[in-house]
Amino acid sequence: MGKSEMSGLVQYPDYDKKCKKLCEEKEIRFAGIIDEGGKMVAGGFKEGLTPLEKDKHRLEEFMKFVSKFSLLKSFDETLGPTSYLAARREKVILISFPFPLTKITLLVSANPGIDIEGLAGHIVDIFDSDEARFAER
Amino acid sequence: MTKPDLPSGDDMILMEKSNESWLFEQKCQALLVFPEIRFAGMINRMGRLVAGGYKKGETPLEDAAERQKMYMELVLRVSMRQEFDYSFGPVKYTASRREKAVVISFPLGANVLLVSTIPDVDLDKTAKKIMKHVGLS
Repeated sequence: MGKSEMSGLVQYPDYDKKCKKLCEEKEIRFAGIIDEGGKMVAGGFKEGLTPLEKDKHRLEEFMKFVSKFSLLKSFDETLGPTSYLAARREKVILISFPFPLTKITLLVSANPGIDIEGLAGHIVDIFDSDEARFAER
Repeated sequence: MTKPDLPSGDDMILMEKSNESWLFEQKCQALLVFPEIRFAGMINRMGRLVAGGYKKGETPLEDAAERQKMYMELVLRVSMRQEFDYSFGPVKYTASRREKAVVISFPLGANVLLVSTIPDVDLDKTAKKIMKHVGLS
């Protein structure tokens, strides 16, 4: 499912370019920006790739779930702000970076064989010049 | 000759639960030996800590009320994530990298093993070490 099918609009052209750049990596399956309501507003799946979650409604539900939990600030005072959330699953690695100022989330999925720290570092290298959240820390 | 007193069904369940708690406690204590691990606890499906805790002498970053909230939120997240197991495969572990800690959770049957470490750890290596130690790999 591409971005046009999900939202019909790219609200963040710079992020869209960066997401596409990430998707050029062999192991990355998806890189997208999700707004507070769980709607994808930039990026998308690697071209020609079939999503593991084929049901559009369930995929949207998943994105809502990712956005909700990524932007939670429940334990920021005690544990410090979240750099990223990651899940290693049997079929895929999912990693999300909250951008609390703009209340959007970068979600990346990759093949399970790769290293989460390496992937996170690579994503930060590509995105960190734009997002003030890194300067906040 | 009188029959020996055999444990009733309820007694057996209690014995099983007690053995399970003992085993969980052993696993958590074994993890707390590692210098980078500050907390290792087993959380049940009701969001209660049933074994383990903070390393002796360690000052918790959060207070008791916040900890309880964290356990509840963790259980909620785990149950919500299960909805997507069919598409993405079951979760091996999830993690949040924060400024002051890395929090990793491992689904373990009906319970969740929650581990908190110092922030400068390699997530994949630490998770692998924990899984090996508790018999998850």
